[in-house]
Amino acid sequence: MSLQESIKQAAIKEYALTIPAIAPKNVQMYKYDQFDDEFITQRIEQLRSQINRRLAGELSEDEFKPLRLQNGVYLQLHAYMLRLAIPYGQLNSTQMRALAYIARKYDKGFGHFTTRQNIQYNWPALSDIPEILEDLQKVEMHAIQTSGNCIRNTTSDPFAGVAADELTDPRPWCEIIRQWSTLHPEFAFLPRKFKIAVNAAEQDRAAILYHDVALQIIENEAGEMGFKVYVGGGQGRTPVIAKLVREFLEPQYLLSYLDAILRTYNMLGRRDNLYKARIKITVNETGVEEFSRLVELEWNRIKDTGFNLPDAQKDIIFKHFELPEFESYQYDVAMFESKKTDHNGFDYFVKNNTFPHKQDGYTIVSISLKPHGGIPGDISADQMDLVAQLADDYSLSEIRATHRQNLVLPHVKLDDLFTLWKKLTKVNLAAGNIGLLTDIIACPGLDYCALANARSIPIAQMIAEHFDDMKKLHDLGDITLNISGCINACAHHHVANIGILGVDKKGEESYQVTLGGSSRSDADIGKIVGPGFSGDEIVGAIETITNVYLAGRKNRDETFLTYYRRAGQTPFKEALYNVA
Amino acid sequence: MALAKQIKPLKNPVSVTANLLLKGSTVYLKADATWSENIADSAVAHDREQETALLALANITEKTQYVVGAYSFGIKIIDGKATPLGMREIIRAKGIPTIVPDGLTTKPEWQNQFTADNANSHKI
Repeated sequence: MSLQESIKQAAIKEYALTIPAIAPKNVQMYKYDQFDDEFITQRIEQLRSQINRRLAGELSEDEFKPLRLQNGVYLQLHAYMLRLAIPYGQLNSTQMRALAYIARKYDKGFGHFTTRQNIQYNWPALSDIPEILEDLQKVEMHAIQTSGNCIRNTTSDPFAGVAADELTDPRPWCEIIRQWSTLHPEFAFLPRKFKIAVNAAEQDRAAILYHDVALQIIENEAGEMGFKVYVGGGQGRTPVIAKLVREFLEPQYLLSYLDAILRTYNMLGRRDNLYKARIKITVNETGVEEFSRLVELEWNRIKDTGFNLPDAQKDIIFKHFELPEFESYQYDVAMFESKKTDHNGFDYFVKNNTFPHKQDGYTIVSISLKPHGGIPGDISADQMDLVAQLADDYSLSEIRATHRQNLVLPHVKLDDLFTLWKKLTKVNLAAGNIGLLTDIIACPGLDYCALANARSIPIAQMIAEHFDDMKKLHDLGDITLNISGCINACAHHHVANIGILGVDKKGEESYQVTLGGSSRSDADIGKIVGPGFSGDEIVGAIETITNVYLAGRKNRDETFLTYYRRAGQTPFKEALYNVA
Repeated sequence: MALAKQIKPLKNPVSVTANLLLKGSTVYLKADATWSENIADSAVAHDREQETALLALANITEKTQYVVGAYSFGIKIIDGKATPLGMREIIRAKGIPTIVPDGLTTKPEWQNQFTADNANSHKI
């Protein structure tokens, strides 16, 4: 054994000892009971048997593929890829350490956070996957519902439960949906994948209107909580904003109403054409009024006789999410302000990477996984371990993953913020660019993905390196820029203020630009601005677009999107293509 | 007299590739029906008949659970050896992405490979 290999094995041994079998006690999240644990054990054994049968030739690839996909296992360009579920993006520090351990032991020392609040590993061997899932089970994680034509991992606001602007905590509802949907026998073989998102805040931080079902938690005039229900949103080759099907759904009927939507889709959804199989096409072809009528018809039939969550079970789930005891203290305002004055980087970090917490004296901190020239969403095992330690030290052991491929420490005391920032700077995780142009969403693209037509990551890196002046980034203000390597739109390019889509143009990579998209409450789909650009030209094109905005905006308060909506595409076309 | 069978030429010569079933890594079919990680070792088909024969050979070995997903792809011959056409196959042939992942510094064997193959490669 080489010295290098000995060191690696020793490190694995050491880290193995650091994974406790139970989650930290103080984290407000769902905890497995005996049923969950036995269920996961059975599931891993099923997959192990399926892999063994595949390797023995008892299953063909055609038979095996849907089985592995239902466990998050894809075959990509260079290797298998394993996608793990992070339900509604919530993690505890123990789980993050386990992710680091898996990255070291089975992968190449890093992981990639995705736009569905999950994490994926790019290099596992097929035969290692049952063992990886066993390690995950020790920390109450799995890979179910991360692929296949089933109801996928439910997503939500990464600030859920703690954001000052939310009506209520959406996580218990996400957990209820997770438990209802996990291997739901009626919905295990849908026409196509199905994604549900829940939001309870004023701001939409989960892009809910681009999901198959979007649930916005609201209060009616009587002050009662319920759901505004939208159906048929999605991206891919046919981007569609979800349509309203119910103004107000009483919460006790959530599951029967979801049953009615899924049944209607399961009956009407097309299975003859992969590209027309999502519910957005079903709603479009059926008409939203007719689709709603059919849903209501089915719901009225089952609402009182079908499955609705018993109050006792609901209470058990809600109890998992009760807020922890926060410390009541007076934070040192003068000290805090002086640190901002003395440290530019800290000032930017406070401005961009923090969000008001429900509790006075606390803040929500976003950790950017878009460091200067870095790979969006990538994080090394060492960085994962450090984030876990920082969560233990400063955030009640809790972490969130965001759909913008960043991480969040949800409970940081303002008095600890400067120390936290200093520690993050040491591992290249202190970029103060959340919500700015370089907070780029990028899919793995042609560097990894078997479906991609062009590379995304190098484009993101070049743009980030070009726009490395924090003053300029700040001047540009609130802009989203997303890059997808193919029309499947995993990086949400349609809904970015500036979207970039990589295409194959006669064997060459080419990049098409869309403008004016939004994934927030003012949802909009970006429009193609003109002919595409080569890899050499694309950074210049983005520079031109930002210059048009800077020159044309009324003042600094007019954001890029507001300017675009006022001025339209003409000034951008003129500047990009020299057309009058 | 029967006419000689017309053999359809290919626009470009092709080789056959697949992924290893166990590891998922990229491999190329050799003339002796074994597989190599190096595209330069691959058997080359210059017409449809040869391509069909190579794919049939790949199909046989696929049934031994060694590889999965075999297909043919366009190549060009440089210095007598197959080299891939198109970015997708160029990246597959490298066996690694064109960018340096964040954890890579902990993997010296990768670092060397990147230094040799991909210096500044993210500058497209």
